[in-house]
Amino acid sequence: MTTSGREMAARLQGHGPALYRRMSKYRHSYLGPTVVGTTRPWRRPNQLTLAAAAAAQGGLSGRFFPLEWAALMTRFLQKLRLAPATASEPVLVGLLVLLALLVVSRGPTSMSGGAPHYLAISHSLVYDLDLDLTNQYSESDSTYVFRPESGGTHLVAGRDGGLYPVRDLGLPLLLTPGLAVLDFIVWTIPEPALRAARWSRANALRDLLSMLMLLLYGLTATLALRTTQRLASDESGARFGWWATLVAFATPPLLPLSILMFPEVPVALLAVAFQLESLRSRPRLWLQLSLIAAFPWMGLRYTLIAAVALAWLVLRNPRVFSKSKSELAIPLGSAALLLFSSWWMYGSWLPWARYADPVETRTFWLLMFHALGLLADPFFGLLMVAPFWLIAFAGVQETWGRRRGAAVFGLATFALLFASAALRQGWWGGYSPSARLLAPALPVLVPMLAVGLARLWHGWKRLLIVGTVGWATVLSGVLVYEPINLWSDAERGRSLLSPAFAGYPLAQSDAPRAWVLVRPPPVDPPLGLAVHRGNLKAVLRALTDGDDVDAATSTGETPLMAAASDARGGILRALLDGGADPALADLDGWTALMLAARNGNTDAVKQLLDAGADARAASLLGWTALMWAAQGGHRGIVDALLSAGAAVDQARADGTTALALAVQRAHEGVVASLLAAGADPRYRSTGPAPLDWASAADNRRLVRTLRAAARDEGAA
Amino acid sequence: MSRGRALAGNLALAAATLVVTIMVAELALRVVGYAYSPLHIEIIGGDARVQHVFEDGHFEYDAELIWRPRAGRSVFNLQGFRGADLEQPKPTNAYRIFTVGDSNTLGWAGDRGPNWPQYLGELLADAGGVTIQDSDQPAAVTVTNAGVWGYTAFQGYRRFQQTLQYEPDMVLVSFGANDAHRVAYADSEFELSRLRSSRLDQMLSRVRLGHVLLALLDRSSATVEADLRPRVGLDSYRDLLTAMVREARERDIRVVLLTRPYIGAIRGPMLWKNFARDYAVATAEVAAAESVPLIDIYSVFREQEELFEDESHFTEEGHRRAARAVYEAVRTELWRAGRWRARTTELDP
Repeated sequence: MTTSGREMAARLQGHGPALYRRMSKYRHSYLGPTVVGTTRPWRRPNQLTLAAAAAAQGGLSGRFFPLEWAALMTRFLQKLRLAPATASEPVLVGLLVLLALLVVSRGPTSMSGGAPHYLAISHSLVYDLDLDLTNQYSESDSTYVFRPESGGTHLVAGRDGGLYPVRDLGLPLLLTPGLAVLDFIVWTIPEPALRAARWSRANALRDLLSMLMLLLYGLTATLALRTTQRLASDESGARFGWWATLVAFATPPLLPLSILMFPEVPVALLAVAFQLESLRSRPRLWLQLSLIAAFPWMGLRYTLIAAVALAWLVLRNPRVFSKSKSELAIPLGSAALLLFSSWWMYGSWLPWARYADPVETRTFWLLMFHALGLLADPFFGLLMVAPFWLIAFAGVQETWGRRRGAAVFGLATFALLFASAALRQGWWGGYSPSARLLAPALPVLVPMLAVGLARLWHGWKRLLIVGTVGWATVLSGVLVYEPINLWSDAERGRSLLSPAFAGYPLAQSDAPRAWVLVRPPPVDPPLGLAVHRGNLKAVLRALTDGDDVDAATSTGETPLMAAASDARGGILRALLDGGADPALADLDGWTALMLAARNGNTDAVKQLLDAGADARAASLLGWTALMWAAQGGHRGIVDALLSAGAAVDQARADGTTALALAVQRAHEGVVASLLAAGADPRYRSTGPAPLDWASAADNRRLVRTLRAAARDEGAA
Repeated sequence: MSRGRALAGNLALAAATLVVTIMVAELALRVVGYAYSPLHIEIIGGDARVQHVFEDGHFEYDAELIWRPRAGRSVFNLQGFRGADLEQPKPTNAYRIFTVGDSNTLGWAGDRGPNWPQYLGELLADAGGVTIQDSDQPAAVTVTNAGVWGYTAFQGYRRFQQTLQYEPDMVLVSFGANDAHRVAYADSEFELSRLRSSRLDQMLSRVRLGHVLLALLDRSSATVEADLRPRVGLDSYRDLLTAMVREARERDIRVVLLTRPYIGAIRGPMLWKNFARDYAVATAEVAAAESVPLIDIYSVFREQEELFEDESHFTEEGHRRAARAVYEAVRTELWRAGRWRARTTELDP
């Protein structure tokens, strides 16, 4: 049977509304349809893959699979001119990727920094279909990494009141399909297989995402090699291109970036792809302009590279746009979209308006200090970790003579990135910004490195090369052997595979913190989430859909307890009407009634008492609703509880009664109510009696009241 | 070619093969991330005790305490406590309160690092109500912070005994968080000999092949117990608190017990927060059984996330509010002991 495109489209259209209806229920639910306590595994609705799966269903059963797909892919690669040029190319790239895997599997380089924040954006796109990161940063499983306030430097209040990312969207947009597809794949791995591999789904997803970054890194190396062979002379290109690529990519700072979810590797990829395209005899303008247009999306400061690239384009062929005006739509459209997205998210047309503090004005000497550190800092300095760049600068001269445009592009990219990096303090402090910030310029200089190697590979000068490359290699070795604190302040060496070897139970993910956003948390049920958000409509919908009204979180909190805490009368009513059990207690033995009393929520207390809540229930540590109301000075609640049968002298293990707590906080009204209900002012087991509290606090009025009450009691 | 040269060549080849094999094996072990720890503690993200003993410059190994503060380092004074050095012998007008606890008692690092015992001392000093024994004269009250990061009741009991030489009048005790941590060896079983200390072992542990050897050695001597256990079991915890209370009572020292605050969801079956509430309940039970006051800090601060820096440590505001709650209880306790001066005789007990 074959499926035509028209049929596929029809099928998809049929899926659309139903899919949307199903998903819109959880449109704002980060956590998905799982109810804790059922045997169904938790799962967030991955909206993108659901749509993709629907499309693939058509493709899988039709004539597009599998040979047609392979042919299509090959044609696509040919169109991009990416089929291997030489036999050695795949070997080199394979070697590099393996090496990267070896290094990054040491751990510290594979986490921390901006990665989680970029991932949060992808996460929001995949699971919420929006860019509002409020839930990503505020809900329980994310707060393992980010406390809500830690979103501060990473989030900005947006036009519509949501919280939007400060970070640029390019990398997340690039990763989003990957995250969606990988998430889909990861969820198809059967449970027994995961258990056998001692792999958790979160770890699997993290590892596969890392592989995705490695692919980008490998692609960058491929393009760098191509550029080198094209740009260097035949001799040096053939002899030294391979080595130059290997050395540049196999040593810091590019190497440790290969797996990090930072935008530097994708930016390097864009830069080297632009360079390669510009060196062709008939470069494709649409591709050049697309690459230029992509830079600002990856990071606003990479607009600098876009400017240099555009200048190269125009200087090489001043009349380039007079012939083909339509292509101008690409950069202009991109710029317009960038401005619009800025307005749409932050309410300002200026993309840089989102930065709370713009680049600080630094003193000249501080600037010089940073610049020096960027080159020579013992931990981060470019010349310390990768001294062979000196050789690359030696190679610029010859390239300058033959291909000036390429040499200028390389130098200008480097200089501008250097200047912009020197202007800011590196994320992890230290003396200087990290050489990581220069990484995008490095693949562009690989051809010059090849030329430099060729020029210096004579006589005693060989010693220079051996020395510098040897030094860089030793530093790489150090990085592999003892990477602690060299590149990040993150946790110590954890292999990517270590969870499998350490015998982690499946549920107990050891995902490094950068990836915690995607790790399976013990989830709060959607109903509880709706309650926490005070969304009455969502609560009613969840109840209509048959969600478990008493579904509890990991601490035993039921939706009713959440509603009682948050003073949401309408929701509490809805939950009680939906059959919520007011007698349930959480792991501390707290009931909804205690929470309502503690928070001074009189209406909730009354509603709960009407629904049959036990006024005498006590927590594991002996607290009753009456004690909380007394301590908080909520007289109305105290009265309500007393008339509902609360025991006035019910005491904690140490003898503290509601009266003692009211006296302690000098709530005279509550004291009066309690005494009227017959509370004993002298009640004491091991702790202080109410009279002790009043006396120690020097509260004469209360002492007199209590003494009078005690006398009356004695008289009676 | 002579036989000697052939032999030398073969030997060199054999040696090279051996070296290459070892290097390849070492490399392979590194690639797969193999590492062996005699403590078997990676499961819950590392054993903080090892860090305190070997990696934290503020502490040094102590056979009884496992780790003890280095006098004069970080926040610790020359006597190893946080606060001013105490005069010896104790002046007659001195009233000394010691707080024995863990990180939430010791508070944050730095000279101005928030900690509730310091604020408690300030509140008591401002109020000026503590009196000298059998007199109405004001006493010089000091609150000395004897908390230590990472301590359990096991260590706290020994720490408490160390404070006795300074003749405390009152001791506030707050444990129950670190006690609940799951580790391979309980605090009472912790010995330095469990760790790699010999020179050979240290050398072996530098390379992964050495890790394999160590793992085999340990396995053959069967000293490794894989089952995780609490740093201090519940029964031991009760016994330790009880012992502290009783020893204090013999010396006429008043004891107040505090439950240990923490917040947040529980992730993973072995997380300490699964067990911490049992320790809070045990604390309350000991207080009731031994007739000493309890300040239920845990319940009072439950779910007040804005007062916590993380899941189990107060912010400055949290420390200040906790100090206020403790102050009220301490004041009442002093009143009951006849050591709190009432402004009017009308209020005498």
